[in-house]
Amino acid sequence: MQISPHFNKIVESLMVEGKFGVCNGITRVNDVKSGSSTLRKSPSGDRFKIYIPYAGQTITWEVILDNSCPEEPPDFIFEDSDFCPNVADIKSLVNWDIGDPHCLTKVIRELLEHYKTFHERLLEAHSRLQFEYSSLLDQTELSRDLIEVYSERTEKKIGPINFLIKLPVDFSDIPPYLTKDNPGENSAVLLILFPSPDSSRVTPQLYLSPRVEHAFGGSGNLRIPAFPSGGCLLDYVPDVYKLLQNKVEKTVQIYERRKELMAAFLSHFGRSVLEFDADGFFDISFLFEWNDFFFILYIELAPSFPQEAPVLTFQSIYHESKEKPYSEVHDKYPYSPRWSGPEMATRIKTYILDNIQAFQKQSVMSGSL
Amino acid sequence: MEAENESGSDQVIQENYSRLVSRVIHEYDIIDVEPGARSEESANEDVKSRDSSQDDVTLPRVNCPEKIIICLDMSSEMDKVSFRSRSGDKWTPMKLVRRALSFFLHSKQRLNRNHQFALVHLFDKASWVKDFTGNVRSIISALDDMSDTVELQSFNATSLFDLIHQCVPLPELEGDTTILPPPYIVRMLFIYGRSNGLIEFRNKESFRQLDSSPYFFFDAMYVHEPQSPENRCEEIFDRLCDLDEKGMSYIFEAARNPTRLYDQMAKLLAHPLQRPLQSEIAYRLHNIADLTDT
Repeated sequence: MQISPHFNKIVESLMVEGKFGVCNGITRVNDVKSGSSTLRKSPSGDRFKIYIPYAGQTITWEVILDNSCPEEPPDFIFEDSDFCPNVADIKSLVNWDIGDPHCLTKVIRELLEHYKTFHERLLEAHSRLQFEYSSLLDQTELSRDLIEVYSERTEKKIGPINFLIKLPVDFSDIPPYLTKDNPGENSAVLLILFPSPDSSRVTPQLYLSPRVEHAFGGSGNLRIPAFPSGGCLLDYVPDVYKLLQNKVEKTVQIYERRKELMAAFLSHFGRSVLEFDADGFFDISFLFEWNDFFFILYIELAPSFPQEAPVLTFQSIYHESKEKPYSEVHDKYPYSPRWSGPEMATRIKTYILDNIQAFQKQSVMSGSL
Repeated sequence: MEAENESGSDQVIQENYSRLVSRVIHEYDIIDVEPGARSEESANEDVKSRDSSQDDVTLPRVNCPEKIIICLDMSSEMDKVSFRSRSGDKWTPMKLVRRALSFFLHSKQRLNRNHQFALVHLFDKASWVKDFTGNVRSIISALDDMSDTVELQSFNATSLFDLIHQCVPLPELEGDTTILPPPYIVRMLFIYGRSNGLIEFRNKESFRQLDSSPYFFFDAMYVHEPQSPENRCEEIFDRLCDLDEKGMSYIFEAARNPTRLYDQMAKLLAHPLQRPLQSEIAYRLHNIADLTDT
């Protein structure tokens, strides 16, 4: 079923601009139906569900408009029946103007604010949770707009309770991530689950935006500590924040070192380059000629570079060994992580020149032509 | 007609080693005039490294995956012995090319596991043999299990470009093409072995379509008899160079000298988006002059 043309603009605005909350997640629209009982030829969808990411959950609200009276403000069905905000408090609903393409987006934004307050109030009945929440607000740098809480409730009990916290890490120097899909803003978000108000088995999960994850070398590459039993968010969250900030600084530093070394190699040998990693600067290879003897040199940097020396692999283009081109790996040679990129490049060049004759000899003897 | 081995003085110093080396590596015979030599190589340190502002290219220098189409000439001249070493070993161009391709494939895969390769045979028209695969062994088997070469005259280049235009989609230009890496680029590796069979190219429509994409590259390796008034090597080589309309191609040739064939094939490993122009390549690590000082 398609949305009625009366509401196209406001729904589109919601889908495009409706990025709410800590995660800035997009709002999805689905399950479009018509309130009208007669079959019509033209699209007449005037009720639909919206799915909004909030505090690690997806909340589903149903929006009910009326195709026959499009100027009328919408009704809502909230899946959480305890949430009943007073319509008079929702200013953008009171001032509903169908002519404004953003009117629905504004209402949803306001409703979400109320929803957030609703969940914050739910914590007040549980002293431990209330303490966790208010201590974060009062005693850390976190502000209210960086935290979302959600409590799952059944008749008998409350739980699990989610705390979604956006960590204000400075990602501005993170290396670029070139992809045609917009990788979005950089962020790190911590989702902490309390199974019940007084449980000690608290589980944290860290979510990184694509560019940050890419810079860290993949999702597996950052381990956060387990939540200590008897611990509290007031201590734990700043610890994770510091861990992340350190990781960012370190990542940026070693990225710059790789880039510097790569630039030095290119400035020495750019005219014989075969390929190089233009994203993370982890490897570069050259075709060299020495005394009419051509050979390939692969230079590979480990994630731990500059602590670990670059690995050099010489490869023959004439001789094979065991059905593959004859090659030699050299990873132990005079090296210091304190050398600058240009110095490293110069010394590696010297090392290559010192060893090329032996390599040539070995490849001739070990390999077949 | 064979010239003296240039490294004669070195051999005197290291006898055992040098005997092996001279048999295998230092094989120059000549001073054949190279038909239309396209590059002047000098020591790496002598000239400034490539300055990006000199390029007409506005593509990002990224090592995106390549789809390489190996276009292998199946004319019977490929099976005629024409390469010789000083020690008297002889090879057909086909044997050497197959071996050099094996090195090429292994090396290229080591450079990036995401590169893919396809195989096309050139009879008087082109025919597709193996579709794109990252499985180097399967291409090498296809090279080992080839059908026989055939006595052929001229080659119909239109058929080759028609085939490629039909079968190989090029990535669309999206976003800022000076920054955004394409998902892959397409490179033809045209290996031609006819000293007399001209490359006929009447209808250039498909070629123009392909070449208009910044993500399409044409490289060539021409193996042939030594140039003489009895053959048309120079003309054929010039025709090949004409295909380099964008100035981004690598066009190499080799005759008689097996080492040179391996050297040229290795130069073709370079990634089109990252490599210098052919006129700027320089592989020498050391000036000969520097060596005589030590």
